[in-house]
Amino acid sequence: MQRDTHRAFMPALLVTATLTACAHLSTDAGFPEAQQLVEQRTGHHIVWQREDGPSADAEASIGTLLSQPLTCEASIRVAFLRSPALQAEYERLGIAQADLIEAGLLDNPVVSGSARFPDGGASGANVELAVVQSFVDMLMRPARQRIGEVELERTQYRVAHAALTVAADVQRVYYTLLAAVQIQHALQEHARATAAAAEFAARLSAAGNLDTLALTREQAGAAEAMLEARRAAATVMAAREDLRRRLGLRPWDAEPRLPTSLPQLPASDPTLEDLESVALDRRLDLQVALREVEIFRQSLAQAERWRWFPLVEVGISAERDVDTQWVTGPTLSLALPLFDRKQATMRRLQSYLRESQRRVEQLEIDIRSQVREQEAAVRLTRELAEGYRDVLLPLRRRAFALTQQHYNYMLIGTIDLLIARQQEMESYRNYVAAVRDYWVARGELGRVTGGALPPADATPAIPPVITSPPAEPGTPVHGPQHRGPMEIEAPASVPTSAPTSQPMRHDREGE
Amino acid sequence: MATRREFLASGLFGSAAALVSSGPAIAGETVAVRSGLGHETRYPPVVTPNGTTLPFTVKEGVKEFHLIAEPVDWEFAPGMTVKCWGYNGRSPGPTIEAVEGDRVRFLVTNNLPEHTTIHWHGLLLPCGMDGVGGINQPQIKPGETYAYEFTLRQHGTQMYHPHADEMQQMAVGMMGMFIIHPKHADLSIDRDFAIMLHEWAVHPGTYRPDPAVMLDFNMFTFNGKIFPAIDHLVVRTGDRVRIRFGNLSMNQHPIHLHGYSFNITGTDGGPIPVSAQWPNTTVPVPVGSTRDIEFIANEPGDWIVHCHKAHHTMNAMAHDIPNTLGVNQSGLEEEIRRFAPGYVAMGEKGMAEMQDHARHMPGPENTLPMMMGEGPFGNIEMGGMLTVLKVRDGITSYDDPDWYTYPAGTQAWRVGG
Repeated sequence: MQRDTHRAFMPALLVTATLTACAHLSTDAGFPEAQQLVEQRTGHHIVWQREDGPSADAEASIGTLLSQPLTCEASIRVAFLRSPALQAEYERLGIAQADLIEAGLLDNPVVSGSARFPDGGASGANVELAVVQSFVDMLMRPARQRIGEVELERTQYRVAHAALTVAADVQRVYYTLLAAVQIQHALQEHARATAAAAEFAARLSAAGNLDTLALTREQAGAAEAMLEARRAAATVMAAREDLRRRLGLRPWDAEPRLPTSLPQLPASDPTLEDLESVALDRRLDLQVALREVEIFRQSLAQAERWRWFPLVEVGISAERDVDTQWVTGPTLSLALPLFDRKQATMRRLQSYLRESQRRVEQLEIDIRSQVREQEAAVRLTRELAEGYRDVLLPLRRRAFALTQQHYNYMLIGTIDLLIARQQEMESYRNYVAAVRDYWVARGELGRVTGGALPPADATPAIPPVITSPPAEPGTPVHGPQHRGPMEIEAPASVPTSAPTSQPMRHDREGE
Repeated sequence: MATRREFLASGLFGSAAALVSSGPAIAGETVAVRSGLGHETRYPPVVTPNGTTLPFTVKEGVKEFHLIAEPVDWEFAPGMTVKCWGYNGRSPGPTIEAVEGDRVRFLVTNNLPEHTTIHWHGLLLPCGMDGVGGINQPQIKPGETYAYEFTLRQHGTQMYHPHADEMQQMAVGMMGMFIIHPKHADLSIDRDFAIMLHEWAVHPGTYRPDPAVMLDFNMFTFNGKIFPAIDHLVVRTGDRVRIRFGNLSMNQHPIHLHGYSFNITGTDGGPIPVSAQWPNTTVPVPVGSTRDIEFIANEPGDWIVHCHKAHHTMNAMAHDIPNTLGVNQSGLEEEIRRFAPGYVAMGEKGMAEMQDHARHMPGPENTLPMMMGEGPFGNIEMGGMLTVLKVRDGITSYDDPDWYTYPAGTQAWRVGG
């Protein structure tokens, strides 16, 4: 009879174990939920490359995107397709899924057996067989699974938040790079204008009309402007590499072609009511933090519930003694909560719980403040950019046109004329920086609201710093003209050294 | 010899209040007499080019004149109007003409924003009539009218101008000529001209003279006008011509007449005895003085008369621009046009090209190009203190004739092919 009992027991255990192990095995590990979160907030689709790197289709898409002038949206798409750092984040889901599976697994039963032989004398052996199964484990399993599910959910939010962070960072770096390139071009034009002024001074000097001190000052000014343009090249390079890193570009990828100009501001900003509340709803890192609180809360509840049953084992034990009599019966072992009454565990979990709650509180404060800050930043940068575009630049252009009138009547000289143009060009560079600051602020507002901003309408590029083609000599300048954006011309090569013409001898021609 | 009373009664009683035009008068039977004073006069009336003579009424034997000190929008030349202060709508004010021995009364009404007075420069009169505000009289407040009355006991070329806030009021144009004819008519003069010299700082693009400028003036006028808007001095060949110059500017002006040697015959102190007169082709007119010159216009033609300080015959100029004379800008010009469309290198071969440039390249508003004027043979390239003495044979009217026609063999000709 006993033999049949324990023989039937084992297969039953095996079946149960197998069945429980098969539960919760899905191949996508909750990634679709993360995809949906990202798509709601950015309109972009994230892809988890599970083979070694992106698929052939993905590579083809990347190639297409890089073959055209890179827009902000295109750069986000490339990052979502390629960035290994982002792909690394996705693997967290696999880990969380494994944790969930493990949470549903029972402890394996332990089978033990022994055979002992007497020292001389009787011929039999003492055989012991036992099967032991942890019992509380079985009771705790549903709660552990619930916690595992919360953990998986938390990881989905974390992964989605990582994707949103990548998109927001790419956007910021993109506009920073665009502005750096545009300002570099503008500084090159500025250097070219100061070089023209220095060359004018050199011509004066060659004719015997300018002393060497005045000439040297002009040359120094030109050299300074040229170095300023070179310094801008370093800014461009740093921004370019930053973008490459975030897009995950490799040496064989084409160098992204950038538009030569930042886009204009959209006509207006969307008016969004009560953005702080919207942000608290939409921010994924807040959801991550809330899930952490929930995990600790449930863990603490679990620990409290089962503190008096830290270890219960139930089993069957059978022994045959040397006299070949089998004895069989159940076993029960208990750990007595005498010393370790789970008081340390409780304390620890309570602290974890409170810690995560405080973090949530701080995050809520931070989110509200960030939203206020970025809302104001968008308003202010818009005001600045519009101020440059609508007030200062037109005034500088008008001043230059009026300066040209004074030049026409020989009331000012060529260098003063060029200085007036340089002042306009300096205001232009500040305008470009203001436009960049607007787009960055707008992107940051999207980030801190968890993607609450609708995408901006496409706008034309802002005009480059030099727009009019050289006019015919003596063309009447009829006062300030509106200069619309023209064919964007590549900046000419920058003189790599200051003008070196020195008055070796005073040329007396023309006297 | 007519008594003074008869003289007054016959010639000038009840003359019209209408403004006298500088109507030319030519002595001699064959010439029409056109005197705005309405009567044959005992002296050829003084011609104030671009100007007028102040009318008067006679009240109980006193010639009464009315001067109104007021702001004036005055055109220096077409294209340049300046907010000046002047008299009776003009800057300089109307020329005062009277005769030695006249009792004269001047009613001076002040329509300026601030107080003023009138000082009679060079006149011998009771001190209380001298017009220095604070010393000789309280200033004439805005809206008030004061009377000056005295007897003229000299003859010659004098001036009138304020002596309250004098520097500022003169800087913006308050002055005029005061000509006193000798008791006994001087009929030796056929043409008599009065020209007030002045200089102004009207910064390019502005409409008002800057009274703070001490030496850097940029506009130079004869009777408030700039070449080519200055009336020509028209005389008949053989006329004895007198030109009277007054100078209340900050600089001496050496006025040069082409084609003649003249004598300087008088100052604001009085006539110079003939034996003491110096022959000259240029009369230096010091600050705060007048000079009379006389000559016989016996050589016909178009003779220019101008200040010989060369900058005073240019219009708007700047004096701290780079010197582009002899500076080759080829190649550089196109590069500069990248930043300044329409840029044209200027001055390499001199400044004459500026007159043509100014025709199609706009300058600052209300500013005259430095070189103007077109003559029968090309650009004149001048400005400022310059006009033309036109001497013509046998004219019957002093209306401005055409340019002189040069007899064959009397004009410079090009040699060779």
